Amino acid sequence: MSTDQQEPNPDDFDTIVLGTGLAESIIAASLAKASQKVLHIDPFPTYGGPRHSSLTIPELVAHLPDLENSSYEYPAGSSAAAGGSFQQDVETGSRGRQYAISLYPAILPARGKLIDTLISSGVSGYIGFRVVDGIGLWQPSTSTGAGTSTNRGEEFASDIKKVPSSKGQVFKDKTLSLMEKRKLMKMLMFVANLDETKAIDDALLKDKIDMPFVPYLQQAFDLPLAMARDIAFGIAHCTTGKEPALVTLLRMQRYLRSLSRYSPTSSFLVAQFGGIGEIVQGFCRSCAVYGGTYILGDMARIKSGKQTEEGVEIQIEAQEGALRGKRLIGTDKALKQAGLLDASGDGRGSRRKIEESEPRRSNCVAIVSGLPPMVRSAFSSGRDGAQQTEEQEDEDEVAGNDVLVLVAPPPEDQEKGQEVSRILFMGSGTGSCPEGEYVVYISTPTRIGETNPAKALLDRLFVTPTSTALPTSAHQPGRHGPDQAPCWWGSFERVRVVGRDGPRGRARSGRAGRSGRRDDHQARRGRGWRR
Amino acid sequence: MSRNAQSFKLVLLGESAVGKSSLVLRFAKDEYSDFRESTIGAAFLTQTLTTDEGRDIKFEIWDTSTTPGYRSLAPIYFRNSAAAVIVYDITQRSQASFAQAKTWVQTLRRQADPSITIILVGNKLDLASSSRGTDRELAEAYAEEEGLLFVEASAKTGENVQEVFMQVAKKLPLAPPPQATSGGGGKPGQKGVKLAPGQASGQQAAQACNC
Repeated sequence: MSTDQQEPNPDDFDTIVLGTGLAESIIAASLAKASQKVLHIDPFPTYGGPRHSSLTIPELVAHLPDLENSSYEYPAGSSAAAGGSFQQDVETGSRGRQYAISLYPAILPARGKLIDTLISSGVSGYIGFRVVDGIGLWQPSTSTGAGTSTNRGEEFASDIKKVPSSKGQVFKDKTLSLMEKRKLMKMLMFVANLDETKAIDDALLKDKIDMPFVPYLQQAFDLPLAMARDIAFGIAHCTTGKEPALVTLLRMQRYLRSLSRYSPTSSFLVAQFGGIGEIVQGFCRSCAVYGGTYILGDMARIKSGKQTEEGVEIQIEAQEGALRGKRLIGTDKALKQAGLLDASGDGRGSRRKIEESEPRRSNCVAIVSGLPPMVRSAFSSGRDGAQQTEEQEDEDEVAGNDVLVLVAPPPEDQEKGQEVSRILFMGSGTGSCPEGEYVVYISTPTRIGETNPAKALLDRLFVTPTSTALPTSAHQPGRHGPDQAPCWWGSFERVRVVGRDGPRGRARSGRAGRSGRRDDHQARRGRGWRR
Repeated sequence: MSRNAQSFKLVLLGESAVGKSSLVLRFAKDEYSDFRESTIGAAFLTQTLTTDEGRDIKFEIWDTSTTPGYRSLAPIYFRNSAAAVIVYDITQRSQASFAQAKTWVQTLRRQADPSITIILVGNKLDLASSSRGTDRELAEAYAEEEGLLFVEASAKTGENVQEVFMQVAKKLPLAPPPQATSGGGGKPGQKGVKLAPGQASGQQAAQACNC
């Protein structure tokens, strides 16, 4: 054995990754797998950090103060509704640990970069998924009129339209005329066969590539406005009706192709036990399996950091000596906190100030002891909403109503690009909560000064004109908002590299992508940063 | 290879260098090396055994690579685990790994499913006569108090290694936990979905593939 070969210093790493958000975790996993020695740290105590973690209720209650503009409360009477001392139990006891609340609720299309990355990295093997059982369009505005119908099912169902999830369902839809069905099928076939490279020459797209999506659908396919909007918000999952045509068509194509990959009637998946937080843990585990070192929580708090000839040096709470990395990766925010990036920004002008008029989102998470009656009614298959029975509640899971999405499109007469509201129900099959309950996530547009519109939407879901006797949202131990972070289609922060491999200026990420896919991309191309 | 083996997730816990991976390698592949690096590159191993009653049990064994000093074990590690094997080194004079084993028991009580089967394993039994540090009686008494299974074993000689997993197998419920999705993958419809590599390729949709 050679004696002059030095033992590697345990405090020297190839790469130090700051923060355990999704992008950072994918990077850490891919670098470790590429035989780099990785140190991955986060001052937040759970994998995923303050943006992407899934938390139990005691954890959520403890960390809410760390989240922007947050608050939570137990509505009056909630203890009684939950049968016992729900409040105390969830904050301290074992009951609260049965919940997984995602700070970043999201549904994943079955085809896409993230799913591909999960599979190719082997991380998918650690994680269980559920399919999204149904997507519905909700028009809360129409529910304000006094109900005259005595038929409960019909009344509720009228508010929520289930989005057809197969060709068969489109043909069976009684609300569409034969002509409308033909136009719709023509449109869907067009999307299915669209070739991006030839789009510019396509007669139906020529000169219309950047046209706002809803008017585009009306013009190119002669669709009525209502149907164009249903497609835009229910199938293409637009945030506003004004997204450019080609980009939106291609996204819709991906969603249509996602259909039947894992379920014959669903394009989307959620990860069990709280979604993205679980996926983050999967990547971190993969990193650890390939030798990555993890330090989370207070021990990982950075006391100081500096760039050196060899790369980067940081001091953390956990130990006296410095930890050295040839390079260090983190978001701007993390780098600033570590003193590795000038607090004033990147030299090209710091992040622009947020204007008052800029779209903001209000997010709310609630735990409820069952689906709202109108949701249950809308998604109960094959009953035509006519008869509601007592047993139905028990049948929600049997009927596959474990994961549901409601989309509330902005009003038709929107002035400038008002955004949709989105609601996600995660049932016990997702491991998010005990049997019979649901975790409900709501994200809705808001303006500065508006008080918690997401909570208002939640209340509306449960209180309908004819339902005074029906249960309201039973207990909401944790909700936070308003908050600028979008709820489940948001962008992840861009990451940058400093140190030996880091470009001096901007990270090569460009703008943060809408869906964060760009970040996945980056992570997988980790090496692309090397010059 | 086996007819209808029931699949169970089993997690391995214990301080660094007590021989967790050696134990599993001995069990799963009947291999042993004196110079094992710390665990790198193996997410989990599987091994099937048949109990005395003729039940086939397939273990999906999750190893950790715990870095000494920092124990930020992710909850994902405990998810749906039916059993935990907590390993300590019986030759340590300091009994540090035995103390750590006790800490793992507490962690499991807090984070894992209450029905989890836990076995405490004192490894390096081959060195017992020359350099024992933790008394068998002491560990046995602790295990009894906490309601744990207990075995002393040697990954090096193989002594009692099968016994570890056999004892666990006998304790496992007849039906796997309802949310377990490991092994054969999700059943269509109600069960969870496992993303398998085989499904990655091809654009031929239209097939309801969920297996």
